[in-house]
Parts: sequence; C-alpha cells; structure tokens
Amino acid sequence: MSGLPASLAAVLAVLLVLAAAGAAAARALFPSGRRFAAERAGWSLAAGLAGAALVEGACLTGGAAPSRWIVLGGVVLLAALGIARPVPSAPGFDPRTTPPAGVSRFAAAWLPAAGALVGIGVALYALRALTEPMWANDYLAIWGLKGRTLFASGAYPAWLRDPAVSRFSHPEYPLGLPLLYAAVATLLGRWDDHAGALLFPAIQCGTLLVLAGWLRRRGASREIAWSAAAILALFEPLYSGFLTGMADVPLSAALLLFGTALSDAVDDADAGAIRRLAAASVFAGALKNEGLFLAAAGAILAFAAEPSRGRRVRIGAAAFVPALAVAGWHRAALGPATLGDFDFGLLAPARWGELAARLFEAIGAAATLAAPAWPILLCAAVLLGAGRRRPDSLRLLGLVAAAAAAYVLLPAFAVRGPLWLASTTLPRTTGALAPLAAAAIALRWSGETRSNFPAGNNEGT
Amino acid sequence: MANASEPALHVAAYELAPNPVRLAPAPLPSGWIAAVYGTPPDGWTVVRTLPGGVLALPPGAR
Repeated sequence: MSGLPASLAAVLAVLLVLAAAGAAAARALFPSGRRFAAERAGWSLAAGLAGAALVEGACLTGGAAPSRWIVLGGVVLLAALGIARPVPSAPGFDPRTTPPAGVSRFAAAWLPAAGALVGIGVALYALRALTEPMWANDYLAIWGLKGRTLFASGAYPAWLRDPAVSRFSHPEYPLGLPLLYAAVATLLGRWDDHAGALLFPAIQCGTLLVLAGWLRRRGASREIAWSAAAILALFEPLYSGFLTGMADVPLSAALLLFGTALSDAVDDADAGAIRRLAAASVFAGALKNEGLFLAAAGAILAFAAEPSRGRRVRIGAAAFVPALAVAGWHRAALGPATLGDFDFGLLAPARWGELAARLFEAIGAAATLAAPAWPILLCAAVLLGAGRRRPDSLRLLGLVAAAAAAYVLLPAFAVRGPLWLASTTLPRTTGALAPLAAAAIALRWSGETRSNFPAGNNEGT
Repeated sequence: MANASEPALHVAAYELAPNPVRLAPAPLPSGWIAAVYGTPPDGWTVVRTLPGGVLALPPGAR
C-alpha cells in the first residue's frame, strides 16, 4: 500500500490510538454503563485529540521540541489519570434495555433507513474532505499555516506574532486547532495536508455519536435520535469541502459537547456532568475566540436555570473558568494581541449614530444571506414550534440564540464594513451551530426525561 | 511578487512555512531574502538563480 491509501491508513491509526487513549481518559468524565456508550465514544475521540494538542502545546510552551514519544507518553499519562479518577457508576434508565413502547411498523422500518442516511452523510463528507488536500483560504492563511509552522519549527516563532508579517493569519486566534494539526503531524512524523483531512470526518462521526447518544439518554426514541443524526450528517453547509481544515467543524462539535454537558450539569444528570462541562469549556475556548463568549453565555444560563446557589456557582465556574484559563494561557505564552478586524471605538457615545447605522447594515446583510436558506429555517421553525416545550431544549436554544446574535451583530464593528464580514463569515459560523440546534429541536420531539435520572447524583455532595 | 493578491500571499506563506513571507512592495526586513520573479531591480545582489526568477538582496541589505 502506498500513496494516499497508505497515508490515510497512517492517519487513521493515529486517530484510533488517540481515541483509545481518550476512551481511558473519558472514564474521568462519564460513569460506566451502556446508556453512555455512544456519547462516551464521541467524547473519547475529543479527549484523545485534545490531549495530544495539550501535550504539543505544553512542549512548545516549555521550550521542548515535541516528539512522537513525548506526545504518546503525554496522552498515555492523561489516560492513566482518567483511569485513576473515574466517575462513580450511576444506576438508572438504560435506553437499550428498556423495551420500546408501541413501536409502529413505520418506525421500525425507518430506523435502518436513518442509519443508512447517517452512513451516506459520513461517506459524502469524507469524499468532500479527502478529494484533494485542504485548500480553504483560511486553512492556508491561518489554521494550516500555524499548524505547519509549529510542527516544522518545533516552536511558536516570533514572526507569527508580528502584525507586520502575519496580521493576515490573526495572531489573536486561539491555537487549539494548529496545535492539534502539529500533534497529529508529530505522531505521523510528517506534515500531510491531504490525509490529515481525515480528522474532519472523524470529528463528524464523534459529533453524531454524541448527538444520538445524548438524545437517547434524554428520552428520545431511537428513531428521533438517529433521524436527528442523519439530518445533521447530511448538513452540507457545515460538512463541506470548504470548511474542511478550518475551525468551524471542530467548534461545532465542541459546542455540542458544551451544551449537552451544561444541560446535564443543571439537571444533575450524572456525577461526571460538571467535569464534562469543564472539559468542553476548554475545547471551545481553545478553538475560537467565540468559544470564550459562549462559555460566558453558558455560565449565565446556568445562573438563570439552577435554583441552588452553591451549584449555580459551581456550574457557572465549570462553564467559564476553563475557557478563561485557556485565553489567559494564550496571552501569557504569546503576549497580548488586538482584535484588529474590529473597531470597538464605535461604542463611544459620540459614535452611537454611526454604530446604529452599522447595526442596521449588519442585520440587513444577515437577512440577505439567510434568504436562500429559507427552506432550512422554515423546517427548523416548524419542528421547533410543533414540538413540546422543555427546559433542556430551551437551554440549548439559549446558547444557539446567543451565538447567532453575536454572529449577526458583530459585523457592525468590522473595520472593513458589516457587509464584508457578514458575507465572509456568517454562513459558516452560523452553520457551526447546527449540532446544537439539532439537539435542541430533537429534544422537543422526545419523551419525558426527569424520571430517567436517578436521584442524588450530585457529584461530591 | 508585485501586485500579488491576498490569496497569493496566503498560499506562499503556507507553502514556505515555517519561513515567513511578505509581498512587495512591503520593505524587506533585515536578514530576509527576496524571491523575485523575472529579473531583479537594478542594484540588487543575486544570491541564486532559480527557474523563472532569482533569490536576491536589495541594495544595502546583508
């Protein structure tokens, strides 16, 4: 075997090794039990990838050249920590062993079809991602450039922080994805921007497993859970060749992990929920700047939803502090960086008139860009409106709404004008909210959940 | 590369990483070497000839 197949096999082997280490690390995030199996599989990949990026980042920060054995050793150490600090097992509802009540013939026939559609969605995305080396402009200019530089130089060179040389690559962006690229290249022993794209269908698979698994645990039928996964798998605006290599697909996964963990923490669903929330906060904060904003939004939602003051503070801290710590590390290790694309001087009272005009322009641009997607938005609105109102769904919708509002309004501050920023970012940034939105919508078509949770799962209390 | 587009800068930066890249007419920082398509301007020191161009230093550069 040679050429691309051999390279794909090597990348697949790296991903499987990281997922295996992540599976051990995920014992610190999930109780044992089959009802968590699908979610745990998705989280295992996330934990393995994050662990490798973390070790790579630690090496670069500490001035040590990363090597295959150092990254592997670090990931094994994280796995050992997971084994040493497992979440206590939780008895309770097991969707796989609970006999389905009144499964219709249609539903029984639909389930294999939904599974087939998931497979088709994954296969189509793999084709889009792997037909040619990653090529998106922002991959070349930002994510791939930094990853390749980190890998090839074994350091974070000063020129990547010099606006005169690298302003186009946004020194202010978090380094999670470039570190992941560098870690995978370190494990592979070479930079491979073609086979390396396998990372993205793998992240898609992890996202789908978490979505379906979490929905099942929240009381969704198999048909609803896997239908949601099928629709998401086929959602081309997110799983496109263009977005392969950029941070939107990983961020979409991180936001799903964050939203589901937040909901579990507020509902005290199991003893690992708060740990998962903290881990997802790290993932979101390490991938994009808006991850920190969404972590803050999650903390505010927790404060609004959780009646107990002590738990409110604990959940809010787990949601926000880890992402803040990532931002702090970025600043301490690399120095301050300004958001050069934005003019926040518009917030000064003397410029409120200009700001108002720009806000109108930004909203108008968003409406124009959203117009071609009206069938998708209409379907989502109908499904939302016809479903049942549930607190867990509302929490996820709150996160989606906060992110969407930020994505729509932020172009008002763009130095190059609202229309430019909206047209270059809005379709992909809002597309990254699809997994979270799919979970929120599918929940409204699911059964009751509260009785599914065993009482007294308050971690550490 | 004179009059290069922004995407050309991005491709060049990616392909030459971890070496930094700037496009003309930005001034060449100290210690840098220019990749020039075609013939270099008068007064430049040619370091190496390449297919379609040269590696060269501007006047006064070391």
